[in-house]
Amino acid sequence: MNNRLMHMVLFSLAIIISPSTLAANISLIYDADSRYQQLFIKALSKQIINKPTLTLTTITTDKLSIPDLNNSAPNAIISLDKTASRKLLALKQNIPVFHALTTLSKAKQYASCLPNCLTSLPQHRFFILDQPAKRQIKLIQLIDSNIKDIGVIVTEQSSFFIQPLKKAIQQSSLNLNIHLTQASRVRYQIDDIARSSDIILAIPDSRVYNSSSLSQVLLTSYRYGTPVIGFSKGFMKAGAISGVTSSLDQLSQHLAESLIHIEPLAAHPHSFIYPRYFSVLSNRAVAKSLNLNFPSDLELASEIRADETDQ
Amino acid sequence: MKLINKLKLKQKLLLLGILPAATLSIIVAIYLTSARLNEMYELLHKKNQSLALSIAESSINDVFSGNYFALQIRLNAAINEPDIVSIIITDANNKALANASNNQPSKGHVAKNIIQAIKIKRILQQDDVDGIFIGENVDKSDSVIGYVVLSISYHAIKVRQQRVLLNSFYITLLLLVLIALIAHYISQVIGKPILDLAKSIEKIKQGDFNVPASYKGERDEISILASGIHDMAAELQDSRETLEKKVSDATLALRQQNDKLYEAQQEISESADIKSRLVSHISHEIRTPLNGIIGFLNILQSTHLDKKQQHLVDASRVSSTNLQQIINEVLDFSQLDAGKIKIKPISFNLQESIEKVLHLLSAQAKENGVSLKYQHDVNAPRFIRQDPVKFGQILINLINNAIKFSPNSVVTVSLKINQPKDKYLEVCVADQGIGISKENIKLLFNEFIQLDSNTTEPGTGLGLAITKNILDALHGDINVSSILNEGSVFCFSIPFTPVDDKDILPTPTPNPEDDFPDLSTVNILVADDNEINRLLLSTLLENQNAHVTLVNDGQQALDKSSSKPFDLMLFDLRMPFLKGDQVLNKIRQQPQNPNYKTPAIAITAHVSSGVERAAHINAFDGYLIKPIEQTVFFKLVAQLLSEHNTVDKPFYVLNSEEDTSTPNHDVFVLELAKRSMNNDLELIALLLNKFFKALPEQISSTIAYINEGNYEAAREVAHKIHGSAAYCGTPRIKQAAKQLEVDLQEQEPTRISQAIQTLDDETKAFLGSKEAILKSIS
Repeated sequence: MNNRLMHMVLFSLAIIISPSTLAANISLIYDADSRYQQLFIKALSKQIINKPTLTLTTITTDKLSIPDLNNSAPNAIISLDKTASRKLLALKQNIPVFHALTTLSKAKQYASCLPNCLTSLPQHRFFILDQPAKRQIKLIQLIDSNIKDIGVIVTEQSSFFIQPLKKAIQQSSLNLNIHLTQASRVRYQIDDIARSSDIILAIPDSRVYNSSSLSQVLLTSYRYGTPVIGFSKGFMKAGAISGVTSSLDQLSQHLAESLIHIEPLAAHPHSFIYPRYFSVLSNRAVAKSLNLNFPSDLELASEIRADETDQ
Repeated sequence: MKLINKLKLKQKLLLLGILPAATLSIIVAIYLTSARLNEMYELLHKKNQSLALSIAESSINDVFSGNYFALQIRLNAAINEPDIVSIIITDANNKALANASNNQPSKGHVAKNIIQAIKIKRILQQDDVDGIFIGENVDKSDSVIGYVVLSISYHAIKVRQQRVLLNSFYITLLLLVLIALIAHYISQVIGKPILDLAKSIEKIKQGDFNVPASYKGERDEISILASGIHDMAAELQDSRETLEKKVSDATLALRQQNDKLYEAQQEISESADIKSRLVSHISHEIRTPLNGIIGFLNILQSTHLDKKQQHLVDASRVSSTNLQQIINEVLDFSQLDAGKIKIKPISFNLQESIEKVLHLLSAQAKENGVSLKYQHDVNAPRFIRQDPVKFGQILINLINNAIKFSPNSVVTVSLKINQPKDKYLEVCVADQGIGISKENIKLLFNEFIQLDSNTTEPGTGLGLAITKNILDALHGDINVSSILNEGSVFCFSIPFTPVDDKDILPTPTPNPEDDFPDLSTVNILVADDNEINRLLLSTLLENQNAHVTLVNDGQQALDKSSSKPFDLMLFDLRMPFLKGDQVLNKIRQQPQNPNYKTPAIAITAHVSSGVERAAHINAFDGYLIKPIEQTVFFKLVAQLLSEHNTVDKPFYVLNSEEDTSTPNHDVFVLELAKRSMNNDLELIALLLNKFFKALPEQISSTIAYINEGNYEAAREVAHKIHGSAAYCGTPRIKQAAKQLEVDLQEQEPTRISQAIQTLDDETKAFLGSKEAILKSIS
């Protein structure tokens, strides 16, 4: 406990002292082959372009050299690539490291301590793409207030979502119909969930929802008239009636603000950080076929933000 | 190709029409049917593949979600499709999720399984961030969630296949029939005119020129050909008729010519016969008095004459002899001309024969001052087989001519053998005379031609003509080369057969010193109507002290013979009242006749043919031809008087029935042997033993010669048997041998056959009595 506190103090000091005394030197490691990472860097550069005190140095994963990195003495490191993240996690750096553009379930693959790594990895923070459970539950409530049973399929990899969800519905009349299953049995659970639930809330777990299974999940659920709440733009396009998502711009803005404002690590009490900015995307055609009428996406987003602000 | 060539034109056309079209039809039918069947199978597979795909796609959701009920409903609906036996939907691990089957027997067995994977369709990423959520690299195997296994049967398609095949078969058959009909029509259109042409040509070949001028209306090539053949046939017919007419005319003319020729030939033949008979008759008429003249001159010459008389007698004798030679030549030519010449080849000593001729002509040569020279060919065989008489006659004629026409010179006779090449011998007679011009050489061998009118030598002009005729008969040839005033060379060549020396039977050499026999105890009856002949014969015989009884005709001869026994009888064949042979036949038919067993000699001028001799002379024990040579005459007389067994039956018996009445069955008569061998029993035994030993071999060789047709050789052996039998006292063998000798001389096969059989029988009887005979001697 003492160690944990000590690390937190040291990390905070480092963050606090550095901008006031020296210009911030940020190293960004990315996969040169990943288009969305390049887009993200582009968006991030736009965000910090008017901040001369911030120097962003990009390093591709294949050219990453730990000694060189140490010699450059960055004030913070941003990792967009999981390979680079693995390497950085293995190092005991004293500088803050931000892992961005990942989901909680994916990050857990190389940072098994998630969702709580404050002790073991006090300098590491994970800017995840997953939307908070409350945000999702609020959306469901906004879409159809009559919904009672929310079906959720999780695997062991995404089982940590169960707790936040349960917490999110505590003060509502909603029920969670959670199916924890093995990856190989997921598709057989779809039929049961679709039959037994009013709506299915999709959790970002590629073992359940992937490019191959997505359409079948949707077809199966709609066979029983059960709508699905998605988690990405593509999901909504495929047939999910609605979902909360954060775009690359929103994500870069969130990260840039954290760097510009030199938010203390203490500002992030968890090892992972939910997106600050988000949008609601809906598939009106599918919703219409299921006889669902709900407010516009902007209204929904606004309602959700308002709700979050209230809290 | 050979098979096609054997076919007729119509069949070839039919075949050439049908074969390609039929082959093409069948190939097309097979191709189309095969394509149709393949298409059927392909369609079936595609259809069911599509069905499997359709089931797979429609089942994705149910397989994904495990909605087996929905799967089963889908399969139940799909199983009613024809050709489908069963449909099974399995998961990715081949675990059956739903299945439906159709067990109807009409569907048959499963022929093929169509397997279609059930795959989940991927959702394309709409956002760059989507990849983060749903993953960018999903394992490929995850896309296959199950399989649709469609089992199909070919039963239905096979039924359809049979139907297609049957239809194809009917269509092809119909097509073939159609092709056959078209081909038949084409072969008729093209083939029939050509076949008609062929028939027309066949008719023309068989001589029928009535060929129809077909296809006159058409103007194609075949019609032109048919028209041409028709015209050609017409021309051929005209030509043939013309030719037939010419041949007919020519044949008629030839027949008439032949008739004339035949008539002329008949006339010539009759003339030749008349000539031959005339010559024969004249020769007899001339020879008879000439015989008397020469005989008397001989007698006169032996009497005491003064020198002048002697000279006159000699001159008369030479003239008579010349006349006799002329008559002989005329007679020879007459016989040659009538084709009556007979070649009698025997083995003889060639050199001796030539030298004899030279010796014979030496006196004449000496008179002409000619020196005769002979050049022998050392390669010449000692003995040859040819006709020695004819050979000698040729030599005499040629040498005689050479002596006559080259007085006081040398005449050279040379022999040359061309044996290795073709077994011809060539004899050349060269003289140094006046020579012959080329023109005359051409006339040389014509009859009655005497080139040298200055010669004083008498002649008929027939010598060389006779020589040429004899050479022709011997298959020989003669060449003449001559230079005027220098001389001539006559070379003749004849074929010969060389004879080995060891094959030559030793012939008894006549004793030149033979004296005429003493006939003082011999009574002889001479019957001749010709007084001169009677006088000649009586003079000759009486000179030898014989007792001669002369009669003028046949009847007197018979009367005389019946009244008095004689030791010998000489009968002329041509006598008034009874001919010589008739007289003798009557005597031989009368065993009581005192001359029943007396030997008889025929005297005749008839030498024309063996048939005549057979008819008239055979009854006699011997015969003489006028003019009579004294030596020959007395030799025959002596032989008959010594050989003839007066105790036994006569030599020749006309009537065999009467002959049986004569008891003479002894195969051996000791008295005869004693008489022959001067009572020397030892000598008799010696000769008998030799005879016993030699006789079987002699009989065998006689039979062999007869079988070969070599009658001359057989006759020589028979003559030897006859001689031996006479000495050895075996009258029956002697008689049989003599009979065979006569028959062989006459060359009568039937009688020869009988005679040799008799001789063989007698020989066997004689040999069977060998021991008894030898015992009787000892």
